[in-house]
Amino acid sequence: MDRRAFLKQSAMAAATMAAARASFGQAAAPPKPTLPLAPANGVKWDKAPCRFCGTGCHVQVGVLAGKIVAIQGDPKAEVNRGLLCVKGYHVGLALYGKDRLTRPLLKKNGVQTPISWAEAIDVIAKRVAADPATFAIYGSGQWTIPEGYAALKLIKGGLGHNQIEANARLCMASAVTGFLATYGVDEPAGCYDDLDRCDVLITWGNNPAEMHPILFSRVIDRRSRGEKVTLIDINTRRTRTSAFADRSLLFKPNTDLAIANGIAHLLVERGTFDKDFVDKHCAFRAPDDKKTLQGKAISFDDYKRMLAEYTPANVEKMSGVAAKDIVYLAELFGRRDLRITSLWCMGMNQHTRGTAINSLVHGVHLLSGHFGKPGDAPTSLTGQPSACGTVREVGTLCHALPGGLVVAKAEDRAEVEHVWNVPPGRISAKVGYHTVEMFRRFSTPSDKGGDIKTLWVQTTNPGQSLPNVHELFEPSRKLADKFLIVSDVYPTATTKDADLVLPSSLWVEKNGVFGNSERRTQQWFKMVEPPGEARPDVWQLLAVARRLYELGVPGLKDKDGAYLFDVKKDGKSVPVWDFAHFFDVNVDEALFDEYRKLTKHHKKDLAPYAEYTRARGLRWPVVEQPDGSWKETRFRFTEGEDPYVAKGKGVQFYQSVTKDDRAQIWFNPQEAPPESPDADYPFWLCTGRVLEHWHTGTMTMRIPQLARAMPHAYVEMSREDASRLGVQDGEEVVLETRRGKIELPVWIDGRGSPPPGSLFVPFFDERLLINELTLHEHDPFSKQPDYKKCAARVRKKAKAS
Amino acid sequence: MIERRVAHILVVLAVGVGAAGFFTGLSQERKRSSREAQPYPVTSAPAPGYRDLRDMRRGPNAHLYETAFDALEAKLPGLTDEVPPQTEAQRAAVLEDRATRRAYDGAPPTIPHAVVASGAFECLGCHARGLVVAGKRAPRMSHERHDNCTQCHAPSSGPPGPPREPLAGNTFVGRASPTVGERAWPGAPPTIPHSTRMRSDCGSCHGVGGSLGVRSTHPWRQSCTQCHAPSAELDGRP
Amino acid sequence: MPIASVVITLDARATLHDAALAALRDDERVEVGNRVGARVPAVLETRTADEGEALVREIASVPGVLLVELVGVDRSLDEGDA
Repeated sequence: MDRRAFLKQSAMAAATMAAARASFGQAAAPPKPTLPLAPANGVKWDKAPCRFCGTGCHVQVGVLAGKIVAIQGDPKAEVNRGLLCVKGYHVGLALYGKDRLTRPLLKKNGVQTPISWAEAIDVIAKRVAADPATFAIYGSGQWTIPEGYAALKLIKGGLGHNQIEANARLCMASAVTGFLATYGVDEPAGCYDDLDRCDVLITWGNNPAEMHPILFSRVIDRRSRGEKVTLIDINTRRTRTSAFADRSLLFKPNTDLAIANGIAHLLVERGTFDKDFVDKHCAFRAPDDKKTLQGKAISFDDYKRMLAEYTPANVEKMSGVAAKDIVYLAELFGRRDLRITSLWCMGMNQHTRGTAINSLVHGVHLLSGHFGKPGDAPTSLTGQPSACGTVREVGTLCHALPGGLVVAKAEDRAEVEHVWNVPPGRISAKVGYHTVEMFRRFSTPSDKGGDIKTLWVQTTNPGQSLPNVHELFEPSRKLADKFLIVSDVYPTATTKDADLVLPSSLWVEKNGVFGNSERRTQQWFKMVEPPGEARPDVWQLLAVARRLYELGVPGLKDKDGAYLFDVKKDGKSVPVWDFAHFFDVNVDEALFDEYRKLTKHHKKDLAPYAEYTRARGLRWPVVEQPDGSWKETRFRFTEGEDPYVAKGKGVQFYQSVTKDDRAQIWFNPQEAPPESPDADYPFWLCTGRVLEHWHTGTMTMRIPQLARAMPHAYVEMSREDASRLGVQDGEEVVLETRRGKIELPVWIDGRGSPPPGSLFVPFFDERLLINELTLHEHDPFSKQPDYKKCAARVRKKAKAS
Repeated sequence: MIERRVAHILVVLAVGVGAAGFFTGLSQERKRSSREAQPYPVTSAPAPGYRDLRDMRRGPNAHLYETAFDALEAKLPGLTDEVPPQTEAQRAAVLEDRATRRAYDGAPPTIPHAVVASGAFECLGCHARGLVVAGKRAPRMSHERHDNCTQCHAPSSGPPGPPREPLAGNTFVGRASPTVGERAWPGAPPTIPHSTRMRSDCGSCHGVGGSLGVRSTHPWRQSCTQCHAPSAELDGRP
Repeated sequence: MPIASVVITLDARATLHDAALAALRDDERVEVGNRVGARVPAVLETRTADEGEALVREIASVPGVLLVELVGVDRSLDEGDA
């Protein structure tokens, strides 16, 4: 058969496949679903932040007869102003998947068997009491603030070690280290108000049109109102965001550092950087020989010399972005009459040079003075509703304590011990294992150094979301002395083989507090009952803590012998560990108001719980005013906005690592990634999310409207590669890396279009687990793995004969 | 006959939009990739400029399409045309049809047709005006303009590939579509029986292109809430 | 020589249906595939992209054709014809 005949045959196959798919609704219309419907009247509405991403939209939840029947965007919410995205509009349905977990299940003779809550709590407590040092908790940015705080206090205050981590390690740890390296303190200085004011929006390896649609709309809807906003998309594949961009710059994976350095080089070379801002507020820094997060101080001349090789021509060679586009970017940053906001999320964070590239983008903004004015901001976005609020601010990580305090510092430990009323020395100075290490040890036999033996997972799904799950997760399920406890709402890749499964309350089935990407802390009340015996995660933690207290584990008593989690009402202790009394008092309020005492040290002040019940969230620092009201902060480090900036300073980086009110402008060199395409594995493989599904899809895959729009994972491939490999749109191929292989249907020019030589697979589909293929190499500072690039190969599936 | 021609013109439009994109886009992409060995050639091509998207997508024959839209619009009844008598059965059918595309009343409807969504103009071509295309109603947006259409409106099919069973069913029961408004006395203007959230343009459903059963008998009157009162309860207002 | 895959949706009325199919089969640039309900897959091979685009439009105007949807265009054969 000649090539032409082959191509025609392929083209016919593609057309036939397309014809068989209903598309215009004229032929083969899908059967009309008949929906059960509740009455239109009598709905009671209450506010809650959305359960899904880190944007932190407020929804109004409509409840009738104890069930959610409708969702509306909250017009009083500043974040979303009445609008939602398709996930937000359907968030209420997340509670009603048919296979909700409703009873505790204990594995007996290999079978998960229903047991009582009392037995479940007892099983956990006895295991922990027998060997507290090998017990770890792994949570997420979906923990509410009180849940995360209770878990942290149980581990660090109750058991006296630091084996607690959260999945935000996999998602934004590099953003944290980037902030620390630059400003000496975590979390963005700007806020979403910047999006209303910027003249230029640059998205760095970011696709907000799908992942943060409300924020994206906030910008592009300005255009339909006649405002001019220039949108520049810097990416490794074309996305929905690219479709709206004025300029879309495609770069070779891992070369974003070269681009940032290229911009800085021109700003310095041409003298178009903001000399005044830099003189007053900045210092320069570069990596030191010991490779510490603090690096070493360098002079401006050193900085200039280090940047010298990043000429536009060289950057073009390194990154594939045309020299003239580097010049264009540098010219934009060189202008003082424009306001420039940068957005990024996983593209820069899930990167073996994550800390470095985060610092560089902050550096470009600082160098050019595009900082601190409304619309001038480097803004890191988050993927989970409380990655900031719980993981970063409460500090549910192996090195952290609440409010930005750390276990390594004696004075920080003493402060927390004081607030907890526990004896000095209770909190261990020894940093625990970071996520990848924690799972590696949980998956390693105990006699071979696997010193994590019992692991309690809450509100997350590491069996699907960890990189390289073959190595980090699955072996633990075959080791006899490893015990996995999972609190969740649905069966997942993690509960599947767990030793003990606990059914949890979800979202408005419990009280909660989240903290979003712009430092906004948001509260909600319980509105509906959970199904069956499902109970709040925070109760589960307090019940186990109480059982440990009863078993005589000493750490569960404070200095005065009282239960560590004693909650009082009218001066009397309430037995909140007994579920019958859990709702006698607002446990969230008690935990939150204790936690907020620890937030002032790093000027992350939170208001009392009661303030948040009235607001659609408040952005910290929230400081009490002379009249007794509480005022939030929009722009940190900026005079007139941030109450901690001294009069006359203009901008003051008061948390500076050098204690001189200066932020650090970093130089970090471009370096090769740990794995690149080669002759055996010629493709780049990138993973990520899609609009309809949230993370591992455990909730959204059970929402019919979302599952129908995106029913399964796929591999995105360029038309050129597809035609070279002779594969059709929709044809299943074998995708393989050095760590594993799966079969996926090909999507050509689908949601996104990767350039030739590049592939993209979303990670939401537990039936097509891409994280069996990804790399667990991680950033040296943040320990965050790189899910965005590894080498892969694709082949046609062998024909079944 | 005219109607058929209009439909054809629109078809040309739909295909033209797609074809122009495919043909021009592909020729650029292919040239780059086939001549250079490295997988990441230098790419400085501007993205389909948002503001230019309309013309780029439509190509040199853009004026043709404008005419097509105008022709379709001309087919709609006039504001003062007599509205045919409407029945309760028609209304019930409209409400039932609406319900199939919404999880609950007030949810953004899912998209009942295929989409090639990369920008707003694909959607706004029809949905900015509200047209009847080949017998199918493309309602005008009921809310203020938002350009990232697929942010809220989910398509009803996904990527190609062998079908897969959903993970599990869902027992959610959504709030029903409204039925009829209350009248203070026979002949009085009915209250608005549904939430008005994201429904600031009544003409989207009730205008001249609206389905029979819910179409206004007096579309020339534009200030709807002057006579028809919304409900704070249904709107979820305090 | 661009090769385009298209899906042609035909009018449900049988007379128009058959006439449209006959007209399509007469054009040597068009290869008609197996019908799926009212939808007919087809492959168009033309000398240039412009001709392809014109042909799509032409087919769309054939009586009995309701809709032509372009699935994809393979241009790997027309190296250097620009």
